Amino acid sequence: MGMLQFIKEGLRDRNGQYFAIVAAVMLVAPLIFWKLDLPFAANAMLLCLMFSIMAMAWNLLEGYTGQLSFGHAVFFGVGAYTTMILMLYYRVTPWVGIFVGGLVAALVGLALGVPLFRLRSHWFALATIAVGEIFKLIFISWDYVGGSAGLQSPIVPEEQKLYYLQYAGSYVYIYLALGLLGLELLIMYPLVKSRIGYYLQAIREDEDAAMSLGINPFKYKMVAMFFSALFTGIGGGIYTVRFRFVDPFAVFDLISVSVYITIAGILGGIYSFIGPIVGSFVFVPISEYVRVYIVSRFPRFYGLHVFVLGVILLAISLLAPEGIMGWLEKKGYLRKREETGEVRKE
Amino acid sequence: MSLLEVKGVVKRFGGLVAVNDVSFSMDEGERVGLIGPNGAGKTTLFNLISGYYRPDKGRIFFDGRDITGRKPYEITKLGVGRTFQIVKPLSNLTVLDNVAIGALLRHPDVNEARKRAEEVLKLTGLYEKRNMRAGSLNLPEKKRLELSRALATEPKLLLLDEVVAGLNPSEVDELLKLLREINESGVTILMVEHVMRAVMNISERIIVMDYGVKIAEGTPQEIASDPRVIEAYLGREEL
Repeated sequence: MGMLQFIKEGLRDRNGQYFAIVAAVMLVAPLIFWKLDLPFAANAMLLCLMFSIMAMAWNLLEGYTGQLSFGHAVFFGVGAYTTMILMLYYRVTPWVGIFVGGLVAALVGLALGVPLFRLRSHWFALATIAVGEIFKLIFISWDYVGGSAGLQSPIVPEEQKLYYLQYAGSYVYIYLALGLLGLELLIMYPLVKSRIGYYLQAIREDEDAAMSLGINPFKYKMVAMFFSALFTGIGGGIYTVRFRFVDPFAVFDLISVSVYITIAGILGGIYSFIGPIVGSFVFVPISEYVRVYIVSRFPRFYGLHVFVLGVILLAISLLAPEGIMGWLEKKGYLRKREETGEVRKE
Repeated sequence: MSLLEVKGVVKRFGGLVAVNDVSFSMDEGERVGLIGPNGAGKTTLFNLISGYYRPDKGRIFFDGRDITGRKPYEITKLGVGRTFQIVKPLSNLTVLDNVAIGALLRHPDVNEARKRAEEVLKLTGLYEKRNMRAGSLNLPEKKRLELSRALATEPKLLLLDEVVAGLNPSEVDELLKLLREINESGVTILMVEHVMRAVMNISERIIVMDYGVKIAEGTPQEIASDPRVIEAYLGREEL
C-alpha cells in the first residue's frame, strides 16, 4: 500500500511523469534492440548507462563540491580490475564483485583524498591527471594483475552463465546497468537533498564562508569522494562483466575514460542532478557512431572520435555553457531552479 | 566569568607585526566596538579569534575553553559567529539556502533548518528576497546576508566586521536597532566599524587599535576625548 501510494503521488508530479516515461522506454528499449537485432544500438545504450552512472558520480565532486577531477579513470580501473581479479582468481561472482570493486575504489578515493584535497582549484585538477597516469603505470608493471597484457576471463559453461554474469551481446547488461543506475539515484538523490548536499554546495561556493558556518571542508569533500569513487568503481565492474577483458591502457585511459566522464557531465549540465545522465545519452552515442561507423569505414580518419569530442566541447562552451539542462531551463522548457529551490551557476 | 578572553595575542606576517600583544576580555551580553585606522589590525584580530589565523603568541579563551589554534568550523560550533568585511555570499545559492546552511549547524533536518532560516530572514529584513540568488543582491543586502547567516548558527558571540559600511543613514539606524534586539536576546557583540556614529551609538565599551597595538579602551565618551585616539586618527600636532 505504501509503495502504491508513493507511486501514485509521484505520477501526479510532472517530473514524476517524465521519470516514469523515461524509465518505461529504458526498460523496453533493449527488448526492441534484441528483437530487431541491433547489437550496435544495444551496446551504445549500455555505454550510455555506464557513463551515466559514472558522470553522475563524478558530478557529486564537480557540480556539487566544486572539485574538478580528471582522474576518475582510477576508480573505473580499480573497480574493473577488482571485479575481474575476484572472478578470475577467487571465483567470486561479479554479483558481489561489482560492489566490492566499488568499495575498493571508494577506499582508494579516500586514500587519494588525503593528499589531493590539500590542493585547491586547478591544482587539484592537475594532480588528478597525474594520479590517473600513475595508476596506469603501476598496473602496467604489476605482474599479479597481468601487467600490460591485462586480464581476460574465460568463456564459462552454460550452467555457470548466471553465476559469472556472462551473456552474449549487451542486452542483459543493460538491465544490470539500469538496476545499478537506479540504486545510484536512490542513494544520491536523498544525499544531495540532505544536510550533506547543502554543505557540499557551500564548500563549492566559498570554503572560508563554509567554515564560518561550522562546516569542515575536508571532511565533506571526503564524503563526496567516497560516493563518487564508489559508483565510478561500480561502472568499472559493469565494464568487466560486459567485455571480459581489462588492460591498463583501456581502463586507466585519460581521454576515453576520465575525459569522457567529464564531457558527459559538463555537456548535460553540472548544476543539474540528472544533467550528467542527459549528457551521457547525448555524447556517448555520437562518439560511438563516429568511432564505429565513420572511423571503421575510413581508417585514415583514425582518431576522428577524439576530434569530435573537441568540437562538442567547443560547441558547449559557445552555445550552452551550462550544458543541455541549463540551456533547456534558459529556453523555458524546464522550471527555473530558483522556483524549485535549486539555483544555477552563472 | 568573561565570555571571551584574549591574552597577549601576537600575529606577524613576515616582518610586519599585524597584531602586537593585544589583550582584552568581554563579558556575556556586552556590546563592544573595535575601532582604529586602516591597517590597525582589527580584521586580523577577528581572524585570530575566529580561527582563520593561528596566533604566533598568546592565548584566546571562549566560554571557559582555550580555543587558541582551533579550526574556524570548531570555533563556530562552540558558539562564535562571524561576518566577513569582504562579503562572501554563497553566490549561486538562494538567500534562503545561504541562511539555511548556517541553521543546519544546530538543526540537522533540512526542513527545520529552512524554517529557522525564514525566521532569521524576517528578523533581518531579507525575507522578501529569500528566493533570489545571493550573488545578485546589492552590497548592503549582502552585508545583511552575512549577518543573517552568522545569526543562523545561533552564536553566543557575534563578530561583526563592518556590517554598517555602505548603508545610508536610515539603513544604519535600522540595522543598529536590529543589533540591539539581537544583543537583548542574549548575544554578545564585538563589532569592527568605521562609521563612528554607529559605533559610538551602539557600543557600551570601545577598544582602539593602531599599528597592531591596543592604544585605548573605555566608554564612547572616554574614547572620544582620549588624546591618543585623536592622534591615531588625525595625526600629531606639529609644534
